[in-house]
Amino acid sequence: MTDSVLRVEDLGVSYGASEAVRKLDFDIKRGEFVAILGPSGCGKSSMLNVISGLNAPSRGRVWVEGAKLFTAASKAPRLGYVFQSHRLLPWRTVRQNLEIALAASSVPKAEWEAKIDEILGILHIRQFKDAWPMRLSGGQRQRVSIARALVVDPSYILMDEPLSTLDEVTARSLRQELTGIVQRTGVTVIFVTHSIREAVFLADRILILSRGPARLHEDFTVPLSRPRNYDDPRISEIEGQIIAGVQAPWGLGGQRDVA
Amino acid sequence: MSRDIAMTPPLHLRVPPRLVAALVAFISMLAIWHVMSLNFRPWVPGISSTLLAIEAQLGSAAFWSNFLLTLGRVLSAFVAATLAGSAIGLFIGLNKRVEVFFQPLLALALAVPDPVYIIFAILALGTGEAAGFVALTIAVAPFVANIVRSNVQARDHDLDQMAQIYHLPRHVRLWAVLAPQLVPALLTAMRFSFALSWKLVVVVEAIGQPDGIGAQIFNSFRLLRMRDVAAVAIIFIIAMQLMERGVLGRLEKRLLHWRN
Repeated sequence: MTDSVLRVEDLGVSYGASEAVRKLDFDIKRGEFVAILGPSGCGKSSMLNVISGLNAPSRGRVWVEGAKLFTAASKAPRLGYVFQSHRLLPWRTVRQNLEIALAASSVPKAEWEAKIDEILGILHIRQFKDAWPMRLSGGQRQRVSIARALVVDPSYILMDEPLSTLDEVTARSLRQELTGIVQRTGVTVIFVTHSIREAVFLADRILILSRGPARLHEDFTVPLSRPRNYDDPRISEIEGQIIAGVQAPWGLGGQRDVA
Repeated sequence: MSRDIAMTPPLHLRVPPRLVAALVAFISMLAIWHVMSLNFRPWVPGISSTLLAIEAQLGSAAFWSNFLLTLGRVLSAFVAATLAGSAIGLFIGLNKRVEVFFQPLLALALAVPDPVYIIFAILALGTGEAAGFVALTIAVAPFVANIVRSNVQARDHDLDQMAQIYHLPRHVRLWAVLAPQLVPALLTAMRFSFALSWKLVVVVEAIGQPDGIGAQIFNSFRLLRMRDVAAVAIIFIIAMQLMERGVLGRLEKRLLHWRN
């Protein structure tokens, strides 16, 4: 069995004459936490739509756990997705929101209850199992969204700027917990963010994309062991190195304030 | 003793403002009615004589027979128009190509005055039950379709994408993701459909039916018994309002309980 969960080869996405992604190649191993960093409008969403199985690419190939996507015989990938906003169904309780995702998964129905309890326990929200999403805070809703992504036993989880709409205190606490959750569950995470500091704190590797059309500018391995501290000066140091490195490919013309 | 009085809030603070407003409106309406009855006698009957007529109607077997007949017609037209309108609205709202085809037809259907449908239905189908049923369904369904269509199109597309990513089966998307978003619109459509249905049923009965509340009102009018016209109309309006608030109001509370 291959160790690669997601492999992207020569990926290109175009909309008519407009090119969003150009010749993108990367490989993500099982259990890795990979951050994707790129300037606004560089083509990250187009790339996410392809690796989530929503849209076929204009060129190139994508493999999920060794199986090629977008062929006549291929199935859509089994993934969890944490969106920028929680996208929970407000007319369903926390448990029912998780059950909806489970209904389309390969998890047997007999295991749902235990699975839901386990995941809600990991995220410290078991007491909200029968609550309506409207009764929860922004951070709690995003935890439920993460629980929904984890509960389906995904090949990998895509997180599209999941903390960007939260206040800094909540985002900080969730960031810290996220690293623990990922370590405990061993799930593979692809985390899209605008924040270089966040990427350095969370990820094992950072794929730095160029300004649109998105190309891989650098595949950066974060040289820090875990657990990490968000206020660690070494994180600021690495952040500074990355900022210096993206000046030209992001067309920043000497500005240093990109995060 | 003085302490007890001080701790009891004044009476006017305990009456809900909505109730006060409703009471003022009701008393104003009675006052206008009374003034009009003094100035337009005998065409506008007095309040007390109308109340006596209401009592007489409530004790009359003929009235109840007409009432039940009209109620049956209202309910059948309401159900048919709501179902047909919702299905058409859903179909148009979910499919751009279908919308291109149906949009001009819907605009035309909404522009045609309701009596035109009623007259054409009577001319085509005669004065039997079918004419009224068909006319009402055709008159009300476009309004329902329009409400449902616009709400289907205004649904949260982010939830559609979530459903797609999690591979929710089509029936689950329809039942668990789309339908709950349409509940407020469907309830609005049902209220509208009900309100329009009972008013049009009365018109249809007045124009082309030998029985029912509309026919009874029209017969009283021909005999210039204005007290009976007012009495039958008032009973019927109150009954329809109670049904709307009782049945549809409860349904709304039940279906949208998660909001509270």
